Amino acid sequence: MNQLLTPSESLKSNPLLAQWLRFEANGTVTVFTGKAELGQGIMHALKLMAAHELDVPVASVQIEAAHTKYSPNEGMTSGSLSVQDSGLAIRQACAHAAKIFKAHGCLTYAELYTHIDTLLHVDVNVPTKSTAMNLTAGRDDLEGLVRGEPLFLHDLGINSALTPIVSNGGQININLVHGRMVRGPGLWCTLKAESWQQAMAALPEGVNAFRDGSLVGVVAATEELVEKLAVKLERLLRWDVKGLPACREGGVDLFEVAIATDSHIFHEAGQISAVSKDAKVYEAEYFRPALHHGSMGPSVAVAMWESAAANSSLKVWSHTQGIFPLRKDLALAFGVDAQQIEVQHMRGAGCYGHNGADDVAYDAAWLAKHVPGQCVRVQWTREEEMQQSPLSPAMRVKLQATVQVTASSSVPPTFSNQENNLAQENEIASSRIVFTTWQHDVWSQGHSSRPGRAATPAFKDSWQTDKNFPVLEPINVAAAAGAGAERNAVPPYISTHVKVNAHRLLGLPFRTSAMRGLGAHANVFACESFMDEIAHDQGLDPVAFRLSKLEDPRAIAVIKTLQDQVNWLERRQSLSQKEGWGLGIAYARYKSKGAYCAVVAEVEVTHQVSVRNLWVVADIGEIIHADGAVSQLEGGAIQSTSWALKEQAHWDSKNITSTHWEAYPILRFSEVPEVQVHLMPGNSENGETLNPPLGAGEATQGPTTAAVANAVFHAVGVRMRQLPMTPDNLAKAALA
Amino acid sequence: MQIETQVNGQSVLWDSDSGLNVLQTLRNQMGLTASRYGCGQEQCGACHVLIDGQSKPTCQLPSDAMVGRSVVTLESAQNPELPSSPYLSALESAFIAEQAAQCGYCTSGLLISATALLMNASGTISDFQIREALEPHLCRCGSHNRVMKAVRKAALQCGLEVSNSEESA
Repeated sequence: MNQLLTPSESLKSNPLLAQWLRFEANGTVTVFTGKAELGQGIMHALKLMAAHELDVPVASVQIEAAHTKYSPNEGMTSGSLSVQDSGLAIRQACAHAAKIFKAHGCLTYAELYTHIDTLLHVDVNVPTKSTAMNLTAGRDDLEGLVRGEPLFLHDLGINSALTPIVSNGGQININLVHGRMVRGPGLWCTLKAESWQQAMAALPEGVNAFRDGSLVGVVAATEELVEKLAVKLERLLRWDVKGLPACREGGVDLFEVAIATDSHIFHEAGQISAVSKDAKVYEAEYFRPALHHGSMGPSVAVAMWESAAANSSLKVWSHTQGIFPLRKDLALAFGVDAQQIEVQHMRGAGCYGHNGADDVAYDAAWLAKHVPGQCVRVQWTREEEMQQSPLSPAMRVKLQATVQVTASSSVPPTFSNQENNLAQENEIASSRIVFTTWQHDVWSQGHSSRPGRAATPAFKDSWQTDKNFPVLEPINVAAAAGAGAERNAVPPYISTHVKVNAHRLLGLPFRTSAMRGLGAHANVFACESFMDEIAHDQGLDPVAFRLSKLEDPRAIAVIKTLQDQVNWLERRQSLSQKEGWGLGIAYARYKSKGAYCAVVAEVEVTHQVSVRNLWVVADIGEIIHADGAVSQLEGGAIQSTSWALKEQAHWDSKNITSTHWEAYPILRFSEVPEVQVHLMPGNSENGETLNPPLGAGEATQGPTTAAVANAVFHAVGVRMRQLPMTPDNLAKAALA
Repeated sequence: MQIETQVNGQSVLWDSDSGLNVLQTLRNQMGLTASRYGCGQEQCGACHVLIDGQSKPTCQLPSDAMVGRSVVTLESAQNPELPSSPYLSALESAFIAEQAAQCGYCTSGLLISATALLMNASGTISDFQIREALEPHLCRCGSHNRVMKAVRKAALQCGLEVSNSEESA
């Protein structure tokens, strides 16, 4: 096949073939990527792409974990873009290499070593191969994971005899020392200086306790010693605590207490026409509380400064989403040149956005600076992970739409047989409804506090020091980068006039940042609930109603496929006879330009909501690793079910209090629905790739939650406009 | 004082007054890092090991409670003489076959609880029993259904019958 694609963004900024590939003397190939393994299996997908393009066995391709010394700079591993960015760059580099291989009549790829100039640019015009042949091999990193091998950064060096720390290409045996931060009793605390003097007098001499402003930490030889020391010091120190706004129902009142709001028109299109008398105006408000990432492993980092000299090098091991942005902010925080810093990625527990990885890397580097020449490991506690890492912000969405019923339908009648009649009636009725206006207002804090984007560091702990770095207000990235709070706020449905207003809440004390889907979760929940409400009020089938308001054939195909898979009309009708059971549908195209995804949820509602079945259909364009994509969609749907039913961060007047799994319950095995995932074909029958690949990791987040809410309405007639759908919120909604 | 305990079939001596919990002793002292720190409050299941054949959390368990006990971690799969090893090996293969993990951080704990279930079962196990055994374990990536499938597969491999009943026995 040929180029369907514009060159990958990563290839534009890293144009040399040698930045992506190295051909080894033993005939194997080393692939370089700036993207990070976050548990999503991306390393495997990238290896598959390289092996396929070079026509070599997967086993003869190895991939290097991201490292600032030799990896292409690809920014963040985020936004479901790794296949588009890194994968397409690697594929193009491999296609070029394969062409050189043929041109020179090489027998093994080892020979290419001599034929590839280190300054050779990847030729973006070399055609790449189709992946029509299925790349089905399972993830080759799973074997090590199920054998419990020390693959995580959490395992690095804690028994140095077993896992020597690898530095500068050689192995060096360094015993780690352990660091812990000592924190006050609130989210934002100022240390009372005199209590520090008193504490130092009370502690034995030679104790490694350090302070800069209100940032305090300790270092000791072992983990248990450092824990004890931290507890001791915590008891001795006194702090002034800044109050937090009262929390009602997951932060529904945040919108009233925000100091300021930065409002703008995010999107406006079409013409406002005169409102006729028979037009009907709909309006509804939806709320999603602040959420935690809830990664299973609290963040960890290891850092070492070579010496106390101003030009000392700093080496950091991190499970960050972006090694280069982390390096940039570490350089800002410590006032050194970025070239002095080396950041090596190692995998952490599953990562779904900007969690504590970067912050703990700063903590480790800050503590290590006090003990140059020693390698400091900082392992956050569960409590720190929940309190110190960014939250996904609470969001409120208000929707207004004007609906006009027209006399004529755009659907030509084609009377075929009895069976199709109901479907066709639905289609005709739906097409008579026209949206003349659609307005979406979204209120939220910003969805990014990531490193690498400002003139001062983004680490919360760096703001506590006497360097007086400003507290950074969370931002929303530009629309071209997928937006933040506004992500998926533009409806996919046809309306004569569409307007989206975004209201960024400022001055709130919560550090909020990117989590799987960003604003798409709440926006899709709202938009798809609203569609369901209008369909119900107009007496329309929600599937037919959606189909009549969509133009994109891929969107229509996804919904129709799902409709057939679940046998929509029949199943919904039969569930109506079953007390407390219901079926709901929702659809979204992630970021309005990514993967298409429709979800049907089957629920059973008693005093609580149980999700029994989810059906997912997705169009992710070209399919690289089908099982990997299915796994991401399925995992996303289960995570979204957890968000929808159970999750809500909370706090008291001083600090975040959802700090453990009883205070912040997530879905357990007994509560997990069955999930069936279907991928639309990525290739035509003759093997041509139909569409470029799109990331699958975030596509199910919005549609799943919305489908569950719609199924609850179908089951018991209760409209859940406030998440999570806990028994309390369900009872409240039933009475509303 | 030192206490004697069995770890993965080997006799080892632990300091009884170290103040360490079993998880820290396994990871930091013995380098057995397959058991993982997730919450430190016995709420997530990442740190489970077999203690005398039962799956137990270790993140709050004092090391000196282990006197005379037998501790089995994921690393034990290399010791075929342990009664748990055939079950653990079958489960590991089934997890790979079903691709039953994403990040893999919670996997060790799941494998340990599934091992305890299979080695202590006789005749038939049901989906309900599998879910019940895995209930103490959290998985944030959403691999639950694949894990269920893998445990069923391993159970069959180990000569057990599997019923799809979701009812308690």
